[in-house]
Amino acid sequence: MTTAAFSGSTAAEHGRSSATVRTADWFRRQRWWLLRVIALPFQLLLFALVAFLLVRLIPGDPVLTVTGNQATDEQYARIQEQMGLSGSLSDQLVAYFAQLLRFDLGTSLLTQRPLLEEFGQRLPATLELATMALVVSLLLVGVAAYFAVIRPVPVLSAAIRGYARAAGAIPDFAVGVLGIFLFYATLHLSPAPLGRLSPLLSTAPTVTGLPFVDTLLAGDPARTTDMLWHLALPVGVLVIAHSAVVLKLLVGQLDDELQKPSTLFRVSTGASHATVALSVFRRSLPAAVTMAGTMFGYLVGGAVIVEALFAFGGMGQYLTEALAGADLTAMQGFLVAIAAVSLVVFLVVDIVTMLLDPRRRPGAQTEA
Amino acid sequence: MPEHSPTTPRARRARRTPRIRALAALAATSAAALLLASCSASSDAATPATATVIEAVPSLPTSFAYDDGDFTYAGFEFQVNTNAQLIRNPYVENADGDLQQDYFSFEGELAESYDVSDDGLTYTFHLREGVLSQAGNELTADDVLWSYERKWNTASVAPLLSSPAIVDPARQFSKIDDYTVQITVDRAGDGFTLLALLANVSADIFDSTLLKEHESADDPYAVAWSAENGNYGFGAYMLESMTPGEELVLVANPNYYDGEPEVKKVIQRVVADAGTRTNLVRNDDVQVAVQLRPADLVELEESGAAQTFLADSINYSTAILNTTSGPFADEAVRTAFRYAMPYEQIIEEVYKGRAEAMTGFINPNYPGGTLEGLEPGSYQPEKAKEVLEAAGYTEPVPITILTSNGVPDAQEVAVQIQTYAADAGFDVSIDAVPVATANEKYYSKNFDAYIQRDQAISQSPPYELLLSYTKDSPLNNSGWTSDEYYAAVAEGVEAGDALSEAAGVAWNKAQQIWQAASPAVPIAFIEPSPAFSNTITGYANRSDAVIDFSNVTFVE
Amino acid sequence: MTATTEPTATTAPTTTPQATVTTKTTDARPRRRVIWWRLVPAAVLAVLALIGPFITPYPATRVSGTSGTAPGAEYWFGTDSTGLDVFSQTLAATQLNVFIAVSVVLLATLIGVVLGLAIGMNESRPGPGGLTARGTGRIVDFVQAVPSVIVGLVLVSFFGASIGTIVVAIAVILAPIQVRLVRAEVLRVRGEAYLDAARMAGTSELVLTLRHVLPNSVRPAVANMSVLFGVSVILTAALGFLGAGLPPPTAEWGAMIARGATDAAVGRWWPGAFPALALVLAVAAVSLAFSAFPRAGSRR
Repeated sequence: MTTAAFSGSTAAEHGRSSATVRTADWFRRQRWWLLRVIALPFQLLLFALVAFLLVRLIPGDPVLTVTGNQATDEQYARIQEQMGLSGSLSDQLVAYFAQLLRFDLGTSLLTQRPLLEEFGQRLPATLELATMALVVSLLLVGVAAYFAVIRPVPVLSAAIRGYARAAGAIPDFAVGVLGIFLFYATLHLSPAPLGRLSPLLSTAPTVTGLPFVDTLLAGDPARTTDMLWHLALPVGVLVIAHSAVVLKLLVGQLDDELQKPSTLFRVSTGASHATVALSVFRRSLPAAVTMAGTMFGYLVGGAVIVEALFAFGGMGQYLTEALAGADLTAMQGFLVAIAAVSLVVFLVVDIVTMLLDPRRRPGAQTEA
Repeated sequence: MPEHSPTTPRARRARRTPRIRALAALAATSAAALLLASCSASSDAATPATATVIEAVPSLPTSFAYDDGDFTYAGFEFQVNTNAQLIRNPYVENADGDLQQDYFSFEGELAESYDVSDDGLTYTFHLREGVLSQAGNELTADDVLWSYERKWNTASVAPLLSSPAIVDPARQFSKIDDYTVQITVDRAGDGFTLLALLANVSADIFDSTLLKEHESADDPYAVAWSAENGNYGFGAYMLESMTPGEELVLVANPNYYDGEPEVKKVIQRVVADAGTRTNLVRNDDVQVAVQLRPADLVELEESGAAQTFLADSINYSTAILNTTSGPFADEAVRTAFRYAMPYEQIIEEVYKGRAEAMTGFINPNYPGGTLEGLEPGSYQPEKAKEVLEAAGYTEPVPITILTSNGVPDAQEVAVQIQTYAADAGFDVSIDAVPVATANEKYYSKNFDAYIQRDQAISQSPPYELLLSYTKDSPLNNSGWTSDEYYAAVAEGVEAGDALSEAAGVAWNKAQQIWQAASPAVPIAFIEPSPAFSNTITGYANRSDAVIDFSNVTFVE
Repeated sequence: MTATTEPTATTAPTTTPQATVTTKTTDARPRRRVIWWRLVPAAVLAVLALIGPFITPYPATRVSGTSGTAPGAEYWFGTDSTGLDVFSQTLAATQLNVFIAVSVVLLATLIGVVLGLAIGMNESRPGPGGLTARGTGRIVDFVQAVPSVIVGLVLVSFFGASIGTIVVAIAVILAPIQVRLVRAEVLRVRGEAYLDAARMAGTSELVLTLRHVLPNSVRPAVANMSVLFGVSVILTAALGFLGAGLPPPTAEWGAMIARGATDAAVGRWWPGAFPALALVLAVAAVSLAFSAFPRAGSRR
């Protein structure tokens, strides 16, 4: 697995002190992830630029949409300023980026509170929900793929493959409505869709902003159990609606790997079933990790819908209100915030896949 | 764990208990013990430790101050429960056996009593002594004067609503002593309106001692401070906590003049979907659910799973017509539209019978009032077409009905109109938009017809008649003005007593002028939309339509 | 919510589940024939999309009975909370939903082909051309990184909920998938010997791209259209569900499901369940139709 980057030392470098060479060498070796990390803020600014331009593409006068014709000149000017729409386009852009560099996303038109503060209160809960669904989903996908491909069980295998084929065609909101209808309204197995905790339980003190983690930290088993109980159905809905995508990919990969000469060779040498399964899984892993990253994005989107259905106050509920209140600054800020989250997730995914499979590092000779 | 021992989980319904037990067994033993203990508690919440009511609401207040402009259901409910006024309308039992406000009489609230001078121009209010605010400051006449000073010197909507009964508090309000306030009106005919205003949310009396401490140069009357902090008044409840978008907790105010209410804690949880709110109250997972759909209320009522309520409702569904431009600038088109409105159909299909036909638009029950000479709403497609033809319209008149996604039944009403007005010479399209967009279009008169739910929080004939039709008022969204109409209202005010028969004749005359011009087509009075679980009682229908929790008690 | 399912084709073009139903089969030769019966459901869908609004038993957008009537002989799928006939609405909605989905798929694929070709052919070049291509490639990656339903919601809230906005918004969200598929194929095709031969024969780069690269690199993107169809139908519905959909009484499955969800919570399941079923069937029909055609074998 030699990489092109390694073979690039030039004559000039031989003349330098060994320390410089070592540093340069270190950098060259770590380049694959360093560059990726350094690029992140720039990618984010690019996204912010897109969001900035989008708001300027809105037909008509967005300030008027927000204020109505009733606004006095003074009010108009204030809202215009708050939306970052006063002054020339270049002034606006400079002010916007200056603001962003101070980690300031602006102020909500609806609540008049800083967006960063508002997102800070709500986004962690949404991300926690998506993460929980991701973890459960990956575990189940691993098990399902095992029973579908490595050790196929007649009916189960067909069912799993059938489910995998439905990837992308399962509407999460419909699954959510059905889930509440079935498990709460009809069977009364699930607790009322009234939030993460029974109303009479007090919320754990905020430490991390992640509701479940905070509840765990508070160390109160009754409250933890209650929250798990409330989370079961929403997480289940997300898992059912979104696991098929990763499952489909993993099943495809495993099928592929099983038929590769290397696997067949291993089988013919009499290697144990477990060894073969493990090696096949390992080789399918990078692609599945990439897919898991993409899936996290879907889960965040899904979490937004599920939150609205189960009365979880997170970004879902906030977005619905921003939508009803025509809160354009909140929408713009949210786009940037969610892009930041997505980009960080993609960065992590990239680095993990490159760790798992050095061929994927930039400069490496890629196979396909 | 003292922190949540007073709030152990409410006992769940019996059929869910086994699952809870199973789960508890999985948890650590201490947790299991705690959970089982709570599961075996009795299911009625009347025990003092759980004197809590859970309410499912569609949204939470965006601000804790009325003067800051939160006119949502949640905003009103917050004000009504955390603030108090000088006087109030008493609750009385109506013909259906439910409680509702008697809009035509008043009783003392923060004021113990009031007297009226013989000429009907001076009202003297005797404040209760020793009434403490949520912050512990005593109520005095200064609080009353300062509250009105604040309303008139900030962006509050109160001056707009209070005119012409209260136009200049600095002149009209005076302090006689620490516990006596005098208020004058310019015409005796404004007296009833004054009382109706003082009994409602725009007349909340604030704790001036507290608020003055929070005044600043940017915020001279601490409006911004009160918008964020709450607890600046004399109401039955005080704000304990709010998690934006999730939960708001009110607790009983130990200082409340009338004694601490029976419901010690009110937990509002946000549940956006009306169907889910219905379901929650049906299962007693919440004790109060508000803003439910008529069809769901009928179902709750029929199954007996929860209590629903009837009232001589003053809340009505109406179509506001834009008289300044577009098709409805033509009076003939407005008249035709009045006949094209499928009133009975809407009452039956959208409101499932939980609505009453209307004649005119003001409360028909005012003493001295009469509906003579006013046409009741009735769907007459042929007559509508005749009116249109006579005015020279040979093709169906294209109109657009604007509806806000925030008014849940507006779209359903619009679809009914679309269907039935088609047979009456109208080609209707529907523009259903988010709340903010709807407001923007409505207030800038960029609409043909707007479907709205309306009610006059202060019930007084001249107040109702003028609120939406005053010249140049930002609340006059139909844009209709008529000197003849204003003269008729003035005639009623001149009569002295707004509830006298002489005044009633004038109100009737004004309504006839209004009906001939049809700047709005009222559709039906709508019955109250909250439901209570069977474990509590004490709902009273109010002019602001919200729940007064101080009147709620638990059923043994 | 949903899923841009996707690049199964990029990562493993030969291993779609249909091709390898059992793992023991080493003989996974691609089929050569078109399986005609698999086209039938999609054909029915197409016919319904064309004539659906004209054959409804009741006018789809007019009140036709007592609101909240359960399914029965008179109203097969019952009526909704306004009194609209659910069967007529579901049937009539086929036209709009299929129109939106087809427009989205075509637009997204068009964007995908143009950008995919441009990026794939230029990204390894030195100079500003290559830089632009690489930059565009990264932007495409980013757009894909952000949850699609959120981008859709923001776009529709900015530009208003209309058929046009919804089509463009969803197409923009889904285009990156197609761009990536086309780009990957271009990179593969670009190195083939016959292209070098053509280059040496003096064929211009543009002609080369259009005549040789284009036809050989669109196949995975075309195959992926069935997935995009499903995703776009569901995304439209999700936007409707979040309140950024088309207003009533527009017959559109997503908006119907959104309104029906409230009814479902109180036990009136029919106004939401039938359009949801229609949506699933439509997605399945199109997916089945695409599986009727023989697949290209791997060229690796």
